Amino acid sequence: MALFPSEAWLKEYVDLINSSKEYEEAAATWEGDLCYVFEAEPDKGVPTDVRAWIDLWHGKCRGYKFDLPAEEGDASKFIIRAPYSRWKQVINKELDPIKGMMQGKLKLKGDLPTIVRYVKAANELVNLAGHVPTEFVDEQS
Amino acid sequence: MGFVVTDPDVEGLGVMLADLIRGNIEADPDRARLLHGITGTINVRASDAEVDVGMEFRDGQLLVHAKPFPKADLDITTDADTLMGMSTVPLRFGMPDASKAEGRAVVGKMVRGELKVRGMVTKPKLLTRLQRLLSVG
Repeated sequence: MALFPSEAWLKEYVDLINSSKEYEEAAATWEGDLCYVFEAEPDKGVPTDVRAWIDLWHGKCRGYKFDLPAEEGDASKFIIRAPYSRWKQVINKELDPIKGMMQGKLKLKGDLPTIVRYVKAANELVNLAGHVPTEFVDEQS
Repeated sequence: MGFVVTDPDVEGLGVMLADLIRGNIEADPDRARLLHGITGTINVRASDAEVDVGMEFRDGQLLVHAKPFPKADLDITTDADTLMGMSTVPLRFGMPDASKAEGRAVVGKMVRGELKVRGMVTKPKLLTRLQRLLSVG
């Protein structure tokens, strides 16, 4: 069980990405890095914004960084940001990311036509996040 | 002034549609011509996400408003996934290409009432312009 958010959680997530045939096929021609921003919610155990960066290339994740500086994360090709508790809903499959973006609950920065072309890959990335055995920081025993 | 102008209070769906069209025009500047020679209002609603937005072709620009129009020339209502999928459907004369599986899928949703487009008979040009602007194909 990996704590979310943490580097251990990110590593498990990346391992799942790299073992997913579905993602590999859907993102076979994808080139570009992605930064997730888990926005601070101090009352839930996330005192500052946390950035998780993944370097996605042709259906694989060839690198990752956890809690990188804002200026580095914000230089990514794509950035998706939301408060910590929204991400928790996404990981728990209580919030569909496309609906969440349409409702303004998740905010995307980057070339939207590219995301739309690769919507199947994007959905698989989210699906994989839900498969990481996760303990949430605000539910730690 | 840009080709696509969003009201300051626009978020979510409105931002997505505006960004999609801006990105498409940036990649293919010829598409900006689709904004000219047409006037009309469009409401777009993602029913399962319970969000809607008003769009307006006017003076060579597309204006995106946070609120839908009380009575738009064209009303598009469907679920969030179908709405996203409409951008990747192959088009023929600005409409979903029924000779392709993806195009037939969209037509099937219209037949089943899962995709409702009110005004497509009276304002077909408005619909084809929007489809061409949104298409990432």
